[in-house]
Amino acid sequence: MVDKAESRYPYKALTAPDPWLPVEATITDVRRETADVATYTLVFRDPAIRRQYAFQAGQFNMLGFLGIGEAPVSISSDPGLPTALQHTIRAVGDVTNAISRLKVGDVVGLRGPFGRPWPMREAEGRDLLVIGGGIGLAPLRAVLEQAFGERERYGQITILYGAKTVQDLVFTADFDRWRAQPDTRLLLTVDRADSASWPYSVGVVPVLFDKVDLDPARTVAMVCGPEVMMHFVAVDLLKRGLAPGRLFLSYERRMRCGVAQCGHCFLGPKFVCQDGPVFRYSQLYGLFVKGV
Amino acid sequence: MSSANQGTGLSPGTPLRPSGTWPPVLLDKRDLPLLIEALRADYDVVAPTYEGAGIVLTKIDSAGDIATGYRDRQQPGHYHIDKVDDGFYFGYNNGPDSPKKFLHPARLRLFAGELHQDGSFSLTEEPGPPHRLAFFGIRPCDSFAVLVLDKTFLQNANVDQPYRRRRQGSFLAVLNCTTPGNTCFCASMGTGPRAEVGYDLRLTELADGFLVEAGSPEGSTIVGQLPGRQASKGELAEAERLLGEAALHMGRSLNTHDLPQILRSSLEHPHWDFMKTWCIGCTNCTIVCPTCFCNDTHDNIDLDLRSVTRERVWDSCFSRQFAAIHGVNSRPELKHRYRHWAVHKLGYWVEQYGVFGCVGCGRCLTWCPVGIDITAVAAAVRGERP
Repeated sequence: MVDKAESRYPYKALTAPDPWLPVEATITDVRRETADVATYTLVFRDPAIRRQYAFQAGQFNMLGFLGIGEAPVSISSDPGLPTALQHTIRAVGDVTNAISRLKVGDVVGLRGPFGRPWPMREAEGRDLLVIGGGIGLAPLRAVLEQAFGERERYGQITILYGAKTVQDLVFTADFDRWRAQPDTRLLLTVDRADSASWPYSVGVVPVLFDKVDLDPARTVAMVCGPEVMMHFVAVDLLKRGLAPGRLFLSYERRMRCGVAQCGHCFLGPKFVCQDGPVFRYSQLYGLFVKGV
Repeated sequence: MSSANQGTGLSPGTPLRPSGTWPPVLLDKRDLPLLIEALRADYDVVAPTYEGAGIVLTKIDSAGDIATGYRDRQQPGHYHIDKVDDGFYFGYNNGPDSPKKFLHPARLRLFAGELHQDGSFSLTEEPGPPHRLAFFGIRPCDSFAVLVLDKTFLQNANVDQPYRRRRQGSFLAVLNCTTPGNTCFCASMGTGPRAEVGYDLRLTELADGFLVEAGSPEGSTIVGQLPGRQASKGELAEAERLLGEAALHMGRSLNTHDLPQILRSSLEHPHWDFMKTWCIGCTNCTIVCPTCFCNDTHDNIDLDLRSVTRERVWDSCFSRQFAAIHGVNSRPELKHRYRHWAVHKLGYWVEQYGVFGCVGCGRCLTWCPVGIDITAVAAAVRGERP
């Protein structure tokens, strides 16, 4: 029952020897994505931390402020450029609303990186199927930027991305660059198109499956979005012949510590912060039960 | 006696089995203060004391502070204690406190911070306790619970520094349990009634004295300072008899055979539905549980908007907001929350740490205001009635 190889991931916070202590990072750029989402570029103030900090695609940091608190946020930038970290954040709670008021030059507290990353090495030599819903594309942008930087290591790259409305799509500034990559497709859909000029699909993400021909034997799928979307996508992909061992989902849970010590993020027996947030679908068998 | 929690590879790197053998010593009961003073020379000593209407764990100033001569009666949802002075010092069982109160305090300052004009900040880590801690008179279930907490906070790539500062160099003087209560089931969980792992000293109370056995060089050093004499064969046999009796007279039992697998495959068992008509979600069980570690962080900021403290406080998976993101709890109903807690203790924990999260101390039965018995819940889910 326990997948030994995939039990606790031994990732250590690189920001401070005490994983509870945040370090200072300065905002060097803010790029607005939607009405309530922006991408923030952060640089550590301490040069020593700048040198030692590294992360993998799919990992997250705890971001916050003294006096307000912290929230887990996935890293949306290229792991190859760890000195200019990017986080793409929607203003929904106390911490993320405070972040939304930041300007270039302001300072946030940061701890990390935490969590199990996407299986980039395992995916080498295979087609990448990258599926995002809404702001769930953020940790997948790290996958794409890494893959484009080492393009020869992967086969075809297919990006399926959906959001509620056209106004909710994030990373639109990156789309043309992504489309221009060799052997790469980007397919878009929105739940509701509010203008007739929207040239792409309408409907939930699985409507895009009929527009691409997947070779399940060559494909590794990485999915992040609302849980209900991920589950529909998973069911569809498995029906189309994808092996459950090659399907990866990234989960969101409440977190306080990031290091498997506060208990908030449990998904059944899994610490989403340390066993996840990226899970192989087959690790989750028995846990697709309401309220686990 | 089943041994659910033994042979599970506890604590690599920490000497758990006694790291040597030292001859058992018999200490006259009147000499107990000498043991406490020997400990106090090197440690802050925490021991059971009587406060209010029950037994609690507190830092003591002398052996005179230790609760002796009490007998308690515990049942699900019921705790009663009397002073009887029947010559037996430790005839009572656990109160609501466990070593968790000191190693993972209910409220702990993680750091103090100063915010500067330009938005930068400086932090001061909490210093930890001034002296090393010695726990005297905790029961084997509780000393085992410390080893279980170690797995969460120490045996992790990210060591929890506040816990380490309290636990490192601490001393466990464990009292073997000859008087298990009505809500006890340590024998089922393999954690008692005799301490087998992780102790520096273990004591067994006999009619005429305490049988004292060292389990570590530190423990042996303490014993060396005591006036005790080598225990006789008869005294050793008497301790064996008392502990054997205790194992046979547990108030409860829990069948742990295949329990994690059974629970994991019974997440939709109708008994969880039934539990929502019983459990009131008060969080008492998680507070008194010696292994429940869940916590939340709170920031406090001064009116000057400069001085900040970040505190860690106990939290409970029974709270409505515990697993909420964007205001939606992923365990929306009480039955989900009760199931999560019970299955974590008796199932998930084994997947996570290789040991049960339950040591059979019985506190969650005694301190449950509606008297829920986790052994009965487990039996019902596995299709047995106790």
